[in-house]
Amino acid sequence: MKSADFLVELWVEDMPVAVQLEAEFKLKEAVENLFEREKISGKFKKAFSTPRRLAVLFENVSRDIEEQKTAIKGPPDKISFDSEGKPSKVLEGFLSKYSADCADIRVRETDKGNYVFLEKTVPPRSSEQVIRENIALALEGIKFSKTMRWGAHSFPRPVRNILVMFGKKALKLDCFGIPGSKTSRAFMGENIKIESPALYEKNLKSSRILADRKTRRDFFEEQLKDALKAPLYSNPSAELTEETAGICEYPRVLTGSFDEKFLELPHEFLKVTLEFHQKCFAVYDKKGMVNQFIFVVDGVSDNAREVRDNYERCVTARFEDTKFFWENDRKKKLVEYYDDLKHVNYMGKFSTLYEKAERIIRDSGELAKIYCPNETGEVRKTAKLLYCDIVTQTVGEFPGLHGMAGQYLLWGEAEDPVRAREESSSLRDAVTLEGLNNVSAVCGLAERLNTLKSFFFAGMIPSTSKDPYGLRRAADGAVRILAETEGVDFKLPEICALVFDDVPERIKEELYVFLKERFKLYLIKEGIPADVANMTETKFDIPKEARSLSRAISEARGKQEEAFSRIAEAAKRIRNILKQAEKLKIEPAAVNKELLAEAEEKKLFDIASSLRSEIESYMNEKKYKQALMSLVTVKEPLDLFFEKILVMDRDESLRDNRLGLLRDIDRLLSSFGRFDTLNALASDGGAERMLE
Amino acid sequence: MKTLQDIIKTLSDYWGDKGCVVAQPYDVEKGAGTFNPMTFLKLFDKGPWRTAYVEPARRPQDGRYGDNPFRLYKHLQFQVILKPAPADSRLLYLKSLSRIGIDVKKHDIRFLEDNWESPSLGAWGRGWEVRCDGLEITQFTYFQQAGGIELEDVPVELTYGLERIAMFLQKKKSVYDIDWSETVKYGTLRKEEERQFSVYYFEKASVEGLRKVCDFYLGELEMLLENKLPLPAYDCLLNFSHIFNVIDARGGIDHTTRADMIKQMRGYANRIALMYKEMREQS
Repeated sequence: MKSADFLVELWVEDMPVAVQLEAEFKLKEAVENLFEREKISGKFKKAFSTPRRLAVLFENVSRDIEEQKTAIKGPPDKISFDSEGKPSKVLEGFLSKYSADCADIRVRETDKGNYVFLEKTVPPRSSEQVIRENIALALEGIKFSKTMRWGAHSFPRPVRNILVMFGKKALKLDCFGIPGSKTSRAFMGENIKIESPALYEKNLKSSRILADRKTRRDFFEEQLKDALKAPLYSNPSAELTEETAGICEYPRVLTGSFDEKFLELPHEFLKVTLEFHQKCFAVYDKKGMVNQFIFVVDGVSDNAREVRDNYERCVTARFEDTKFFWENDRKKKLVEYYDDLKHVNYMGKFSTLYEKAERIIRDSGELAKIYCPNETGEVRKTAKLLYCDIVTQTVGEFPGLHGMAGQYLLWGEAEDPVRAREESSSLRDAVTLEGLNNVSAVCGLAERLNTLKSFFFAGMIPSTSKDPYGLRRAADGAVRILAETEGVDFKLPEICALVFDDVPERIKEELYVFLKERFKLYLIKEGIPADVANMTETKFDIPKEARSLSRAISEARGKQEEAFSRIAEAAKRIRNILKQAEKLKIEPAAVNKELLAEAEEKKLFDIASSLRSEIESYMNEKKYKQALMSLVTVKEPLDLFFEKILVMDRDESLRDNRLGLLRDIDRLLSSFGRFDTLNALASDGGAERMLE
Repeated sequence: MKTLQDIIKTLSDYWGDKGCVVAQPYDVEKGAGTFNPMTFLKLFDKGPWRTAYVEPARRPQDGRYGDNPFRLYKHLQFQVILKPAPADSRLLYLKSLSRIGIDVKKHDIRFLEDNWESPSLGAWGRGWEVRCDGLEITQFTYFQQAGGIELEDVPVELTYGLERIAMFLQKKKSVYDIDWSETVKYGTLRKEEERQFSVYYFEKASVEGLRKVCDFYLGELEMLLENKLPLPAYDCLLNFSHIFNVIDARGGIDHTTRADMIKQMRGYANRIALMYKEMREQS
């Protein structure tokens, strides 16, 4: 037989899903690299990973490696030898680089003269031997993003068994200090004999191990479907599903139940408890959560009842805990927690959350006076409650419930349930930003800006790679509020002046710049092209308008790319000319119609004058689309102007008049931002030629 | 049925047979068995080391007034250190479960990623929390670093949660129903203690006074390190760490302050470990 299948398997201590995926990929890559380097022909068939094993299978691996001839071009003949015909320094350097000696070199003629060539012939070899001699080094040398050490070795997790098979034969080698064999292992280290590489998957399956990731996932999904008959459903996150099914070699889905009394707790709390601690899935029907849960076990089957009882006991214990926290928390009204904030240090010993909360109440009150004066009372009330749930035990245990816990406490203690529902959702939204009304927006904004302020003041400014205090997230929340709150046009400078009034000017400026940077990223994440976001940057002071304008520009440009490209180019040109004039200390004149000599400049002047008021009124009405449609009509006269007119005319009055016209155009364009920073089409030249 | 003391005896015998020094708890309050010098300091000695012991772990925040069937401010850990970790560490562990009566084949035994870290000891390791039918029963860790020092002989640390295991084996719904011995329940010995300490930790502890005690221990730590006395310095660090936990349970520490104080503790753990190691190497 000329070829055979090749299989290598590493049996390791449990790896989480992310590690499995990385290791599977790198194992495949390591074997492929080895084969390529050693000229072993073979076809990659499949890679496997489970929590406890990594394997890779290759087909049609040739048993023999053909003779290899290589010729490496060295230095020219004339500098390779000294006058006595001995190797020169140059040649010696070349030889030592390839650890060769003079016996391996030949001088050959090329079209550029005679050169020294290093010629080597590697005789035919056996793949089996080459693999046996090299595979251990290849596997031990794989680089991972995270590893650990044990004994003299390192790998993401300890390797405890090695299987290397070429055809039906095990390769005798030592890898990670373990002799290779054709025996795989089960959970307790029981031997599993692998008959041949091709039968690997099948042999493992008879020991209840599904080596293939997709098979495992399908098997899991199928059982999940069976366990949840309509109207029951569950909506675990993709991460949770992956995490639960991915850490089993043979995932089995089971259903458990819990005492209905726990359903009196907020269902979000139960869901978090189930998922966070127990990696179980909450189950719902049309009316809401039911007293069941889904859990996944690895392999066990003949003792399912006892296993279920045990799982149910765990879930019950967790729920008891959640209930304990919640019942304790409910002994006080939410607002009564306010004074407890005095005991919570903030940013070191010198400040408390209470002080910060006081400041947030003040700032949100002031902001409300400007942006939603009718709701100032509600805003101040909500601001006061904002941090209260932080000191509850529920939030202490599940920090992700901050906001939610406050909401439920406020709701539960209210006398007027309808009003309370609204108030409590505003409170939650100020934290989570799930919904944005005036109250949640103003409170959420004041909170985030104060967080940013205190950290910037302390010099703890996020770097590009590190943001341990979540400041970027805080800024992004603020930006979302500024951009998305309906009916309120927040003005950034006004807000900064109000909230950042007690820090030095320099820090205020840093904060302002940071917020604008985050807003630009926000636009880009929303799908606004980067150059458009650069263009509208001069408009960022009113983020909401900048957002609409950016959207309108992206959309309009999408339809008329060529026109926008030409206007952008003209805008750059205008800027350059005006800059040049400024350098030469030439003052553009107010345009005098009489001095417009050529038809092209008259045309541009006429169009610009009529556009000015048109665009202005569209902009005032925030009809950006229409404004842009009007603007596009300036393209042709602009093009013609630059084609025919020399701006820097010798006649100074003509020149200054033309500069004045360009300055007017520049102002007109500036109402949309900095048009000159917008990208011109890459294929511009081509497009131009085709069109003309 | 195995009582709690049977379990302790069985584990002690099992690991004693594997060459462990069966040691005693270290009588200063601490949050985990790792803090016992038999683990934390002995790791810095040259050569192999194996030990096993029971350690009460005090975590004020976990107090539940004796009301919660599952959580305790003080629980018992059974701690094992094998240095260097043998290749069959995991199998030895699984067999110890069988020895105390957990049939590994009949239950859902899982190793979930949990890379243990003690920021205050400057220690971390790769490891798992071992769950048995959803119940966390053991922390299994290959130490990589302790006291800020990379460990040469990577040890394995096993920390069994004794109450959890007893509840599991005795099928109890409440920790207080565990049979400590044939005739005495866990609750008889521990329930009132849990209540009183919960009241103390959550309601009565004098935060300002305790802050002063913390400052006092910091002074002692400096003085002891200057005098090349790392062992008593280590006791001061343990005391400091426990009081820090008490203040924390009273809600007296926010996350930035916490980070600072932990950094401070880590600094001392590091200095103590280095001094201890250096003195051992010289002796």
